[in-house]
Amino acid sequence: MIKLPRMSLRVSLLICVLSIFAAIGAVVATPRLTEVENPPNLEETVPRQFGDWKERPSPYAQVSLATGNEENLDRPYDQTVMRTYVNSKGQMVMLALAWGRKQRQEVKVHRPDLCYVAQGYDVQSLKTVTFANIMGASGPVTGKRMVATSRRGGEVVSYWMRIGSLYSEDAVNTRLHILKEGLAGRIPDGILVRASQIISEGATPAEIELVHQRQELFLAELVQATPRSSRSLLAR
Amino acid sequence: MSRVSPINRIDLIPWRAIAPWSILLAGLCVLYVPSFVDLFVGLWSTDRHAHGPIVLAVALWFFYFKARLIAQKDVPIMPAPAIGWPVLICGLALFVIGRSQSFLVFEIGSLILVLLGIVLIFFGRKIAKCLWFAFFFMLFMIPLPGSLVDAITQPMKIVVSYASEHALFWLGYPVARSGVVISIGQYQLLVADACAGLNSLFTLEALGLLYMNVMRHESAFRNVLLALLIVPISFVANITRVIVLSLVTYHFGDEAGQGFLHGFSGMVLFITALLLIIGVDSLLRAASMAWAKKRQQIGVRVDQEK
Repeated sequence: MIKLPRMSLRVSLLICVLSIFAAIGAVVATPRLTEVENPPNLEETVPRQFGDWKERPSPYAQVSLATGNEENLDRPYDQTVMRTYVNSKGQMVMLALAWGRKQRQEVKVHRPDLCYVAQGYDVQSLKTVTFANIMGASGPVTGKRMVATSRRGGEVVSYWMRIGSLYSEDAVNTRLHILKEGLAGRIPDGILVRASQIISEGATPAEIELVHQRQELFLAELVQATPRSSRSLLAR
Repeated sequence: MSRVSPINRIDLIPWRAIAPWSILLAGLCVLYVPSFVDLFVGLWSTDRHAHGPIVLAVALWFFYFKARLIAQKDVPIMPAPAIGWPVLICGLALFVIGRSQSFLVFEIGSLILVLLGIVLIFFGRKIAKCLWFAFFFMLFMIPLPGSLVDAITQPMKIVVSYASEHALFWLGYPVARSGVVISIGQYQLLVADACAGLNSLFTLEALGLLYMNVMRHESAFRNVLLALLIVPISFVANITRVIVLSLVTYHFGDEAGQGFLHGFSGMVLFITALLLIIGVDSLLRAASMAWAKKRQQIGVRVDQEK
């Protein structure tokens, strides 16, 4: 047993009081306002048919939206939609939407580049892209073009992630945005909008470019065709 | 003795000696008990953060261990409130931000600053310096952000998969690998985070420190060397685990493999690691003894030449 050295009672009282203030401060500063109170149901409101595109049951399983580490407690999504659309030329686009009402530092929308890697893909390229035809509050939506390959085949992916009003390009930005909103007492919502397509192994860069362009048009038409209330979840 | 000095009187009333400590402890509990309860039911109950409680326990034990040493050595108490208070205030501010914004790096990281601040305010730099390793060690307890863990874990998983594949191939098994998926015979094994992750490295690092403190090496150099060597040791232990799991699956089927995975693979990991740590440490000791002997001989020779 250690003989405890003597300490000043007054100082320790002061530290204790400060600690209690800090604990109360933390409770007071916890953000409570969510941006979307009555979210529309995406599965019902996102159109199953628009323009030349029509939903079709698909034989392919999509790459999961998770990084595979969550084990029940980190479930960032309140709504997910996974569909396959086909146009009159027989071209196919897979769509994944994942929306979460509350985006917090440790529980938030997963980045597709990480999801794909976690599921055995190698990310070959990842480039920032501006979706010129899709308007957010402050101009066109920015997202990513990704090409990922694995032994099972490659995928061309176009996606964007919206956290509140931010189109997130990297994890640090996302964290800072959530922190800024949180200190103002608000909890932003977040969504991942992802279009993907399986490609054959020998696809040329030109072919991949075409697929990206088709996906971007598809997403623009999709946003356009979605009723207003749900559209604000997809792009804001 | 007719007169009792005031200092002695305080000694006679233990309440006066214990009260400040209890008040301090109560303050810390108000701050951190909710956080740690959240951690225990949340992140720390998951595979990838399973090292957290172990690190916490070792850190607490280390504080106690060091405090006892300090008490024996009579390190002078020279309060340094001038740096102590700012450190404490920073820690508390970090806590408020971290806790309210559910930013775990800040929330748990603040504990280090708060404790450091308190030690400085009451006991000063000398004692804080004696405790540096305990503070440093607590860094391992902070749950790192998922994206960072992923970024570190992914290459570790690839290395473990790569080495396991080559070892199995060398042993003559029909084995192939794609990324972190190992195919052996008709079976496919995905090298999961738990098989290569930071958590096993951190846990082993804690285990290694425990070992070093039980052995009580005097040489700081040897301790640091051993602490660094735990990184490759953890890799080797993880590779051993993956190989054993692959072999069990290959020879006894998927079910046996899964049973092994949940039952004994952790044990294989830790026993391998412990044996390696003891082995490496014995080698280091032998090497340093041989070195000392050689130096002595040279010394003797130099003496004779004189």
